[in-house]
Amino acid sequence: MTEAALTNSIRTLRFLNGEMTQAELGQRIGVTRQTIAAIEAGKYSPSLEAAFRIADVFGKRVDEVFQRPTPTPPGNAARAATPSSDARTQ
Amino acid sequence: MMSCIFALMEATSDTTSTISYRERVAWVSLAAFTLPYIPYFAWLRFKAGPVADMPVLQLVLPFALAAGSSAVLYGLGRLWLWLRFRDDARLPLDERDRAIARRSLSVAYGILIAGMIVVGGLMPFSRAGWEIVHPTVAFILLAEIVNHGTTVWLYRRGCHD
Repeated sequence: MTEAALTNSIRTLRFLNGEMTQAELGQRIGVTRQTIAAIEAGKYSPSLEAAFRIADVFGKRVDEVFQRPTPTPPGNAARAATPSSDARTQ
Repeated sequence: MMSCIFALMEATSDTTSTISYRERVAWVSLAAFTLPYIPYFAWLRFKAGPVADMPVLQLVLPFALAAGSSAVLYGLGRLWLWLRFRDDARLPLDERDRAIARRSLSVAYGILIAGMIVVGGLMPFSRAGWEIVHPTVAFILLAEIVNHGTTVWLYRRGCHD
């Protein structure tokens, strides 16, 4: 099983939006209350479409709602794997 | 296992539970496929003796009893769930339910195919009759148990497709 890749601010955003319930949010984006609870708890990573719908409900961008804990840019990873590549090209 | 099932069923009310209706159904299915058939296969393995020497009725009756118990258990479980969680039962599957069902079925399908290769491709060279029928039933049940078990596991531990 892949490890949870996303964290999110849904619980905070619900609180800031008039203490919206999980059921209300679920109804607005077309999933069950249990799925909202699972997303908040990091037990389920929603589809891109659902992520956009959640962000739309709060009037935020997707990256303001969902965050990756420790993003590693692909360039950095490749450079770390081949430390002498810069020297070779020079 | 039963205490775990009852804990899940009774744990929380409709409005606060984090347990999906589909997870409850998976628990019921898991119980219905596990509880009646474990005694049946235990009896077959340790008590019944060589199946080739047994009269057909003596083989079919215990299986019918296990299958009947399984069907009754499943039916009662679903009825109870429907009566108790009627509002949740009416909700359509959402994307998490579908993702979990997809993964569970893919795992169970692998088990089923492996089992069918064994009982249909290998066992006929060395066994015959009831000696093939029982492993066939066992592999089908195993695939079902893995399907529902994986479903429960993914609902409990998380699913990140």
